[in-house]
Amino acid sequence: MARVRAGQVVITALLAVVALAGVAPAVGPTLRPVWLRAMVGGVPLSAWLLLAIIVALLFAAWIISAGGFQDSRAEETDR
Amino acid sequence: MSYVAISCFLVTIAASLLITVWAARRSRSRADFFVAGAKVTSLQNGLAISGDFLSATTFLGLTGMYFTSGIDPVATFLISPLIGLPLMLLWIAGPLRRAGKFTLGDVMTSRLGSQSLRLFSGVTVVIISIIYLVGQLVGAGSLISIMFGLQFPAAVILVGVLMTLYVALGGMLAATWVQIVKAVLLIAAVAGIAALALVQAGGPAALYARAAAVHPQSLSLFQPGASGMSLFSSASLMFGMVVGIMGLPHLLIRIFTVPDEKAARGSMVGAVTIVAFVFALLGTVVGPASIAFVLGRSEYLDAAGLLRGGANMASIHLSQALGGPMLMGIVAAVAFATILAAVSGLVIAIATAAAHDIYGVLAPKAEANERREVTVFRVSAAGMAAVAVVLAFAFQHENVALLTALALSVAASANFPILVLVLYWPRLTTAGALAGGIAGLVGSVVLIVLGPAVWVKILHHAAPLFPSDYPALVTVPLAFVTAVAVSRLERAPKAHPAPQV
Repeated sequence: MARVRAGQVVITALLAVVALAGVAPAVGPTLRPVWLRAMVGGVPLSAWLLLAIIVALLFAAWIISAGGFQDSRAEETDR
Repeated sequence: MSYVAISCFLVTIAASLLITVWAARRSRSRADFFVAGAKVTSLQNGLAISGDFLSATTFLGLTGMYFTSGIDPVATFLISPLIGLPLMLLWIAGPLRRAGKFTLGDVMTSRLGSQSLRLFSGVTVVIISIIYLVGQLVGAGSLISIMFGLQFPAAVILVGVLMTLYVALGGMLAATWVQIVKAVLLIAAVAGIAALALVQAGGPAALYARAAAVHPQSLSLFQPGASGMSLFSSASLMFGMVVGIMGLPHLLIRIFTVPDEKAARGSMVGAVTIVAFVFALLGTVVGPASIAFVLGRSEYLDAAGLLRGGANMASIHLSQALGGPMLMGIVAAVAFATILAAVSGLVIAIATAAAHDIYGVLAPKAEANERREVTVFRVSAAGMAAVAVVLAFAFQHENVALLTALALSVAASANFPILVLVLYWPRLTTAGALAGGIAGLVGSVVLIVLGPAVWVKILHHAAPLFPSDYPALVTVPLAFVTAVAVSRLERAPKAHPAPQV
C-alpha cells in the first residue's frame, strides 16, 4: 500500500507540473515567448508542445492503469 | 438550411427515440433507471464519459475560440480535462465505485452514516446540475436556432421534451447509449474534418501557412498572450477545471454504471484515450483549419462583415467549406446530438439525486419501495427539466460561460473536497463535512458575484471586489480547511472506519 501511495503522490506532482503548462498563457502578456511561434517542419512549436503534452497525459493514464498505482484495497483484500 | 441538414436533424431525433424505446423495455428496477443495472462495460462507459467532455461547448466553442484568438486560451481548456481525468483514475474512480451504489450521497453515508450529509449531497448535486443544465440549454437554444432556423423558445422546448423522454422512459441506459452513439459520431466527424483539411491544404505545413496568411494576428496566433488573463485568473481557471471535473455529479455517477472497480478504472483509461485523440485533432488541425478555410470568405459572412452565426459556427462553416452541404448537414446533426446527450446526462444526475438522496431522506419509509423511488425519479426528471427550460428563457441573454464557470466552481469547491476527505481522511466528522461543503458552496457563489463578470458587467460597479471570475484557487482550500478544522474542533473522531468491502 505504501508503494501505491508513493506512486500516487509522485504522479500527482508530475501532473501538477504539467498543469503549469496550461497556466503559461497567463505569463504570455508579460513574456510573450516568441520562440513558441517558431516553425518546426512548417508547424508552430506551440502546436508540437500541445501535442506532446496531450500524448504525455495519455501515457500518464496508461501508466497509472498498468502500473497498479490506483487505490485498489478491495482487490488486495480479496487476494 | 439545406434538406440534407434537416434530414440529418430528423434522423438524429428518430435514432435517439428508438434508443429510448429499446432502453425503456429493458429498464424495470431502480438500479436499471439509476445506473443502467451496473452492467455497462468499460469500453461503453469510456465512450460515455468521453462523450460528456466532447460536448457542443468543446466541439463548437473551442474551434470558435481558436478561430477568434488562436491557441492561447484553447490550450487551457484542452489540457485541464486531460489532467483531471488521470487524477480521477488515480484517486477517485476505484474507491468511489467501492463505496457507492447509485449516488454521491451513498458514498457520503457509507463512511459517516449521516442522513443530513446525504441530503446536503443531493441538494448540491441538484444545484450544480441545474446551473450547468441551464447554461447548456441557453447555448443549445441559440445554436439550434442558428443551425436549423428554429426560434429560441421552440429550440429550448424541443431539447427539454427530448431530454425528459430519454430520462423518464429509458433512464440511465438510454442516456448512456445516446451518449455512446453521439461520441462515436463526434469522433468520426472530427477525424473526417481533420483528414479533409490536411488533404485539401496539402499537409500540416501548408495548413498553418495558410492560417497565418489570412489571420490579422499572423504568427502571433500560435503564441501565448491573446487571452490577456492575469496569472491568478489563469491559475484559478486551470485549478478549478482540473478539480471541478472530479466533482461534477453527472461524470461521477457514471462510475456506478460499471460492475466493479476494475471496470471503473478501465472506463477512465478509455475516456482519456478518446478525449486525448479528439483534443489533439481539435487543437492542432481543426482549429487552424477553421481559420485557413473560413476566415475572410464572403459566403460565411453576414451583412456586417462578421462570421454568420458567430464564432461558435466556425466548425459548421468549416465542414461546409471542406465537404459542401452534405458534410455540413451531417456535422450540424452531430452537434445537435452532442447537445441532446449532454443535457440528458445532467437530467439523470438531477433525477437520481432527487429520488434517492433528497426523497430518500425526506420520506425514509418509502426508501425501501423501489417502484415509488422510480416514480419520483421520473417525476423529478420531468419537473426539473421544466424548471430548467423556464430558467433558460430567463437567462437567454446572459453569459453562458458564466453559468458554466459557476457550476464548475461549485463542483470543485463543494463536492470535490468533501469527496476526497470522505474517501481518504478517517477523522472527518459529519459536522466537518457539512461545514466544508457549505463553505465551498457559499464561498464560490459569493466570490463569483463579487468578481468582474457579475459585480462590474451585470451590477455596473466601477471595480470588482474580487479580482477574478474563477474563485477555485481560494474556495477549494477554504472548503478543505473548514472541514478539517470543524472535524478537529468537534473532537469526536469516533474512528469512523474507512469504507470496507
